[in-house]
Amino acid sequence: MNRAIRHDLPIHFLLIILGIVTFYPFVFTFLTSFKSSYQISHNFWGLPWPFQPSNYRDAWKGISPYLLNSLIVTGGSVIGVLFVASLAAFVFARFTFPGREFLFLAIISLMMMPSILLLVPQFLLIKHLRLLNTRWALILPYIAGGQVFGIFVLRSFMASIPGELFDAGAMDGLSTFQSYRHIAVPMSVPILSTIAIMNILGTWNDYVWPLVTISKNQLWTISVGVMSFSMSTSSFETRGVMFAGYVIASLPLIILFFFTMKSFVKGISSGALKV
Amino acid sequence: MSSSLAEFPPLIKKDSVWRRIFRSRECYLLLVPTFLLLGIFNYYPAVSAIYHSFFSWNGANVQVFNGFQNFIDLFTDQDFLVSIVNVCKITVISILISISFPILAALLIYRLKADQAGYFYKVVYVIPMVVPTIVIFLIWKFIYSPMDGLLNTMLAAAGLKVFIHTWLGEYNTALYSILFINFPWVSGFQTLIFLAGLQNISISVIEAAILDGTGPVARFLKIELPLISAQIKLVVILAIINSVQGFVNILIMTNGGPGKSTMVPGLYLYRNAMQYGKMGYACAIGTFLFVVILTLTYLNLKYMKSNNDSMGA
Amino acid sequence: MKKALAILLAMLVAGALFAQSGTKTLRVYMQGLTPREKLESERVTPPSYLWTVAKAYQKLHPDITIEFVPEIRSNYEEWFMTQMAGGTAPDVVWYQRGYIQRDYKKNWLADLTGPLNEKNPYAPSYARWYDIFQQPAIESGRAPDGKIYMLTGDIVGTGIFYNKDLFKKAGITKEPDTWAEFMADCKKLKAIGVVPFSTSMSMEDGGVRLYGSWFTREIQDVLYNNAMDRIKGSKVERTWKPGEGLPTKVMVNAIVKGRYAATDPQFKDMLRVLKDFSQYWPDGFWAINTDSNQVYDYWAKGQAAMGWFGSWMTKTTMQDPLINFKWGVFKKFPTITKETSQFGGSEFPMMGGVGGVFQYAVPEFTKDRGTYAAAIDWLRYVTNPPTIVATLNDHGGFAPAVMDTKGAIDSLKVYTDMMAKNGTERIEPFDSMLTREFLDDFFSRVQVYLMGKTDLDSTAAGIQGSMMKAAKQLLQENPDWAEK
Repeated sequence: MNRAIRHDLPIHFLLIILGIVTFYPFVFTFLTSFKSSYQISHNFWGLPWPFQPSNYRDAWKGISPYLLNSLIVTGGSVIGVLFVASLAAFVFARFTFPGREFLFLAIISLMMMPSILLLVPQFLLIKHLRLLNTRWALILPYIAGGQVFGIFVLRSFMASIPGELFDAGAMDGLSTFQSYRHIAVPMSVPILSTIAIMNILGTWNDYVWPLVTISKNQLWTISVGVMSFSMSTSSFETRGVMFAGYVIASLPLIILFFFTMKSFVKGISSGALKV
Repeated sequence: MSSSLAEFPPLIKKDSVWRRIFRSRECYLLLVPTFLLLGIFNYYPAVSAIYHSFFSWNGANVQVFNGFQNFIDLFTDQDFLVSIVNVCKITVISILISISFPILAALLIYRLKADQAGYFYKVVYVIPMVVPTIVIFLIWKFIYSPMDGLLNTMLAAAGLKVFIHTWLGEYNTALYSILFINFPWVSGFQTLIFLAGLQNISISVIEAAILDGTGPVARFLKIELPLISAQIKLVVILAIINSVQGFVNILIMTNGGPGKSTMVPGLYLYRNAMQYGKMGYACAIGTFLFVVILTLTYLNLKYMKSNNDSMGA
Repeated sequence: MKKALAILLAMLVAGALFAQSGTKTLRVYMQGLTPREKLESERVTPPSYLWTVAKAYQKLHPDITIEFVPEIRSNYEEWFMTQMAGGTAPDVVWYQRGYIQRDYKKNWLADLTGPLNEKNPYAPSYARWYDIFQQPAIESGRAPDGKIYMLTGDIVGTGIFYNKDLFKKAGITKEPDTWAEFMADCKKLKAIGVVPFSTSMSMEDGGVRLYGSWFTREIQDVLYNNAMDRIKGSKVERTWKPGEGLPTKVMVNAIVKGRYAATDPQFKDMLRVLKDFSQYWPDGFWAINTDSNQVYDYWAKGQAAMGWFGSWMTKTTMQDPLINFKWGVFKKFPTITKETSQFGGSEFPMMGGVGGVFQYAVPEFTKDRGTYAAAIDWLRYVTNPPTIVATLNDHGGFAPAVMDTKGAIDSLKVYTDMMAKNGTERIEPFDSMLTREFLDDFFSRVQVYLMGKTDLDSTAAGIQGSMMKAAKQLLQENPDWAEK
């Protein structure tokens, strides 16, 4: 035991330094959320004194109406991503069929299209589909785009599930869908939770797409709500409130991390994240 | 009934393509949701962008076919050529960054004897990911601030006044300062991915090495590093995709300046599409980037050595 | 599924009934004037007067409901582009002079020239709606095709704010009268270890390089004072009058014919004056992409002795509880005299520019939507002089660009008077002179020059090349512009 501690000590020293520097932006956001705009201007690095708890009251009032929307949109898209991606990954991992490699490349090549270029055509499409000002305008494209990385990762994970399991399943008379449902999915839970978290991190803070597709503010997401506190010619003073908004908006993510951390890390540790 | 890979490998080869397609109909059926969504929301806009790269298009009512003119213009466009040089630098450095420090951090955690502590560090490195990038950029702007920025203040306090710079305002430092953001680059998934790779190395391999008297450094270089090459490959691909497409960091930190010294293709695309009203030209830039990333990814998948064989088997 | 269908059907029926009742909702995007509640954390009261205006308007027109679109404070260009392309923009949108050149041929915006030539029923004492406005303001919305696409009703005033304590410390006893005195004061301030002047060449706001735009257009106007007639080929009065300015079309011809060039001694002097001045700015701020508040921060913290701020910062500055020095605003911008440049000698025009928050356009597709007439009527109602004056008073940051400023608060009215007296810049500002590619190229060249990486001659030659290219491109796209 003693030897273990002595061995670990210099490593801890390095890791803690890395940890402090890495963790700093989080601490900064938290501290700044208690400052007034004037305090931010006059003392950017300083401690928030006097405290401005009113930032939180303002921010809560401003963004709480959108919390539910964000939960629905993010939740809906993450469920969709997991379902669609696991289905496709299962097929790509377990079967050979004509065009398999081509179709797979066709999917992952989408990760390489600059997204800013797609903004206008995608917007016009959503308009023609009459989905503007609906949650579908967010959920469907999020699923479509989010599944790509999921398929990429899940395919190699599912390929590493021992084949005997599926053979046994086939012997028991499981159909393809059943072996997906009863073998592939249960075996992939950790990596699915990893994909879920990566996906949620991507959609939760997305700002431009909800801004352009949702003009009814009852349907806004939390990120649009937070940005309404950034500075403008009519308001210099809302920067502190904006930071409080960031903290509030990140709380659901942090809670999620705490509850899924084990599974999430296990998923990454499964070694599927490689090519 | 579908054809399970393990079951009838010889049969598959004999059949005609159509029969094999028919036999695999269930596979295609299960791929329908994926391709339906992709087809509508991704392929259609992407194809539209590629199509429009052959037009002079203002994004509204004027659309004239002009063949390869956009691409010809692109390669005589000084701003674009500068941006290509920059994006090459950015890509190379980003790759180095995203494999060096995260591997170091992963290795440190991996070498810890106490498992619980390792878990603690994983949490510490993951939580900051909830901070929006816009806040990160704001912090770094103030770190680089010329008069009272953290960096210059620290250099002055340490008696290193000669190293003081207006970091984001000089040719020699602007681009590298942007790349330095997020130092020490251990937050995020890369560290965890590498750690996972290390932890999957079988203990017997390591023990054999230790018995042979291999030191920690040699052990890392000769055994551990080669065995996480599949993870490195993934991280490299993601780094390429991000750095070739990315521009938000540049837009916020320097907006391409000083002068045009930090211009990148992504930012140039953004300006042409959103500000100059030159949509056709923007589409040509996008198409070019698409082809470049696709090629690089393909080369990476094909020629970079990997310890993993489950893909494409 | 059945339930969803039933709900959908019910909604359709309800929608039809609603439409039947004849109530029309007019969605308007009033940008910085959008009314909103005061937050607990705010010291400055946000604008709210348009609520009063909307209420009164709805009383007059019970069939119309005004809906204010919340202010978009980030990524406005992406929002604008998509909403215009998709025909989903509100019935009134915020617009900018710098966008006109890019957009006017896209058939996105309704031509307001016709309505402006008619009488405004809410201001019957004016022969035409047009006559309500200060002419430099309303004319700034005129595109090269001669049509007005943007309604400009306000003025951004600016002033040099200074720290009286630091001035005293540096031994400066009075506000500088000439540019030479101003530079001497800057030198004294630098000697006591403070940054004399907080500004940035790179700060961007709504697509305009804010300070860069102000500096270049103001200094250029002074130095070209005696050359305006030559550039235009006809008389240009010192005080701005319609038709006497030098808009894009005139500039394009002047550039192509060589009557205006970046290699002119006047142009080079503008660059030289700027460069000489830039040594007194915060280090690197000629090139660093500055946050919109960093410039203010340096001054407010007492690290910089002066700053050039817009009128919208006045309220904030007065409310800033952490400013611990006495401050004032220069009564005038120091005059560039012959001592500084052989082309000097005339006063600066109005400091700042036309168009701040009150610059609106009506999308062309409102005509299909059936809201065009209502949108015009709403804008007519709001621009009735007492209403626009009261609205801008309530905001407090922008001066009314109307002929009759009765009721305007003094701190704003002063800018309107200044514009009436000194005029505004006559040469089209660089943000809208040619193309936006040119604008970006121009400023990056100026940055490099201020950094000391290029000399005056090669900078001027570089700008000239870029300017000529843009002018020729515009002439090619608009062959009818060419002078006979």
